[in-house]
Amino acid sequence: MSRGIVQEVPLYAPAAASDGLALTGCADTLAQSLAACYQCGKCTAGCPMADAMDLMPNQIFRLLQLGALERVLRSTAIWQCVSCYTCTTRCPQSVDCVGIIDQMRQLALARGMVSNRQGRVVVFQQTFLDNIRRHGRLHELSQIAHFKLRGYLKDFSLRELFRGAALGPQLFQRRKLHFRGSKVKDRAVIQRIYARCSRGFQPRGPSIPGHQPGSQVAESRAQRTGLEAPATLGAKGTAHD
Amino acid sequence: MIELGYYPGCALHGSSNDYEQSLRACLERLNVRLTEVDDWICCGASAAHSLNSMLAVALPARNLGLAERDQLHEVLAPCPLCSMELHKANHALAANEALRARVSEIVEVPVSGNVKVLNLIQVFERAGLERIRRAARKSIAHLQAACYYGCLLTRPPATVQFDDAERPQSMEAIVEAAGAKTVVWNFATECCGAGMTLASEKVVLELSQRILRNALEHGANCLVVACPMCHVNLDMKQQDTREQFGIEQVLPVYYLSDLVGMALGLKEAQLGTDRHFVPARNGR
Ligand code: SF4
Ligand code: SF4
Repeated sequence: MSRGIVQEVPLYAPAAASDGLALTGCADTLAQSLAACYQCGKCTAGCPMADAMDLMPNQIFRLLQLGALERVLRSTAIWQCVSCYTCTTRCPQSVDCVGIIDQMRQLALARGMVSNRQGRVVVFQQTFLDNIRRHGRLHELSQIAHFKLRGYLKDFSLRELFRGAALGPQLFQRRKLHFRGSKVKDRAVIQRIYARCSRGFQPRGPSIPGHQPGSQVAESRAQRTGLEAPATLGAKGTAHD
Repeated sequence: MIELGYYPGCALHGSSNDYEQSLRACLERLNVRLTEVDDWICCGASAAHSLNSMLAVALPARNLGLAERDQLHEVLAPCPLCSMELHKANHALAANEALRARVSEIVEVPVSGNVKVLNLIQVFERAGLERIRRAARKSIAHLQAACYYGCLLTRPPATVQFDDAERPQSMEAIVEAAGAKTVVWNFATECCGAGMTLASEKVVLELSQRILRNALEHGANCLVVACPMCHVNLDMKQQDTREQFGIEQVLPVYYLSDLVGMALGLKEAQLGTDRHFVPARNGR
C-alpha cells in the first residue's frame, strides 16, 4: 500500500522521464503544457475563486515552472479551485490549467501536505467519493452527515456542524430529501472498480483525522471475490501508450 | 418520435428531482422518449478528477459502456457536470486504444468511447425550435429571462463542443421559441461556485449575489438554468444570499424545461415548479 494515487496517473498520462519538470510530479503532457505558460495572467483575470486563493492561478504555474513544488502543494489555492474551466478555456497557450491543478491536488494528498485550513474541501471530496464507493450513487443525507462529522472532528466548529440544518425540513416538505436514496443493483462492481483504480488510494498523514482508508476495505473485498486488481495497474511506467 | 438514452446522474435522483420531473414531463410532450441507462452509477463529479485520475475515467466509462451494451448510442445527460465527465472520458478513450482495453477491463463492460452525449439544450434543438413554437399554447411573454449557462455547459470547448464558450446563444433561442423574452447580461457563463456550497459557503454566496444582481440590473424577472447545481445555489440559497447582501427583489429560477413546459401548457404540479424555493411566476 505504499504507492500513492499519483503513480496511477501514468496509466493515461505518461510520467515525465528526466527533465526538470518531472520535479513537478506532472505527467509528460501536463509538463509540456506547463512549459507553454508565458504568464499573461488571463487565467487569473477570469478565475471566480481568485479572491479566495492564496496563490493566483498564474502564480501556481510560474512556481511550478521554477520547481517550487512544495509551495504549490501547501497552498490553499489548489483546493479553492472549483474546476470551472474558465482558465483552461481562455488560456492563449492552451495550458491544461485544470489538469495541472488536479495533479497538484492528488500529489498534495499523496504526500500528506494538506493543511487543516484546506481540510474541509478535501473532506468534502473524500466523503463524496467514499459515498459513491458504498452506494454507487450519491446518497446525499449520509454524505452530508459524514462530511459534517469529519469536518467537526477537524475544527470542532459547532456552528458549521449545524449550519444548514434548518433546510432539512424544507427540503423534506418539497420531496427533495430522501432517506433511502436511489439504489444501484450491482454495488459489488463499484467496489471492484475502486479497488482497481485505487491501489494505495488513501490520504496520508495526520491532516485527515478519523479517515477510514476506503481502499483497504475495497481491496480485501476484491480479494474475497477472487478478482485481484490487474498486476500491471499502478505499476509505474507499464502503461505508456 | 425521438428515442434517446438517459443518464440522470445523482442530483436528478436526489434533491434536484424537480429537474427530472420537469424535463420528463416536457420532453414527453415533445415526443422524445427516454430510456434510462440500466443500473447507471455516479460519474464521480469533480471529486474523482480532483482526487483520483483513474476513477475520473473509470466511473463515467462504466456508464458509457452500459449505454453501449443497451444499444443506446445517444444519451441525454441533463447535468452539465455529468455530461462533461462523460465527454472527457469519451475523448480519452476514443484517442487511446490501450486505455480503452484497460478501462473496459476495469469497468467490466466494453467501452468504445463512441456514445454521443447530449445536454438538455441539444435535445430541445433536436426536437426543433419550430416545433416548440408551434406547440406553445400558453403565453409566457411576461417572462424576461436571463439565460444562465454557468461554467460547464460550454466549457472546455474542445471537450463539450457546444455553442460558444464566451457568448452562447442556444438557450436564448429556445426560450424565445417558447415565447418568453430574454435579456442581454454579463454573467451568463460566470461560475456560481456550486461545488463549494458545503465546504465554503461564504465564497459561494458572494458569487451568487453577483449573478443575481447583474440579472436584475439588466431587467430580468427570472433566471433560466440547465444545471441542477446552479439551481440549488441560486434558488435554494437565494434567500440567504439576498439577506446577506441586501438584495430586495426575488428572482425565480427556472430549469429550461420549466419554461418550455409552461409554454406547452403544463401545470406547476406537473413540472415541479411548485417545489422550488423561490415561488414561480407561472400564473402571471
Ligand atoms: S492564461 Fe495560460 S499562458 Fe496566461 S498565465 Fe494563465 S496559464 Fe499562463
Ligand atoms: S478552474 Fe479553478 S483556477 Fe481555473 S478559473 Fe476555475 S476556479 Fe479558477
